[in-house]
Amino acid sequence: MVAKSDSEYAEALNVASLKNQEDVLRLALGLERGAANAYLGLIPSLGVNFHQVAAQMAGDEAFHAAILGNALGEPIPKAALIFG
Amino acid sequence: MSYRLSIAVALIAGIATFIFMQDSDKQFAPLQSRNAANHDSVPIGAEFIHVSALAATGTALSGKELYTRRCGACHSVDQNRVGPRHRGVYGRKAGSVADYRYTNALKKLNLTWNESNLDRWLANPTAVAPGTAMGFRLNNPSERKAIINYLKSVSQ
Repeated sequence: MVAKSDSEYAEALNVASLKNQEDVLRLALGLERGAANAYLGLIPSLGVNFHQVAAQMAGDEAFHAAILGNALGEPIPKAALIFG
Repeated sequence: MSYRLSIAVALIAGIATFIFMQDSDKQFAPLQSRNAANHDSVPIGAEFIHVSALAATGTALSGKELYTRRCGACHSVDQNRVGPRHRGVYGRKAGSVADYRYTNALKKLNLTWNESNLDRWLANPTAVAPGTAMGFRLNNPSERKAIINYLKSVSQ
């Protein structure tokens, strides 16, 4: 896979649309939530030796998302199983 | 006697708590700045806690929200990211976004995306196209259905 340039990443993330601190936090929250989901969804495709590391990384990302959600004033989810 | 002692202890404890709360504002503010800079744990004051139990809805997520959460780390509707953009994916030939670099597995995949094959793809991409770079699996059938419906909606 060919590495992207910074400008390509910026375009892919629609960075030009960010106008204030809240926009930045919302982008970060979406990325952290997405990352947590991505690591969890990858687990079935990984060899057993990588299950734990993927789960650990998902936990880290979920923690980051929780902090960002709190900073943005998001309510605590009511559902017990947040990730499905 | 013990009754009076209990009241006295309770009063002292209350006053001490009040004083601590007053002082803690002064103590925590610099701690938050210092620890935030060092990426250590940060004591969180009440002013930073925006918890509203009444605002917690717990409602089922929409297809769009599910798409953002489950797929959004790698995909977007209008931009190629780790994976190709998704606007128009429903009814499109697999591996056919012109400016996205697909794996050979997707280039060789001879199918047009519909409900049935998107469902199989999201459940286990490797089973559909061995060698694909997409390892993410979505096990929940109702979430797959909601996301496929959303992909249909952005493909019309």
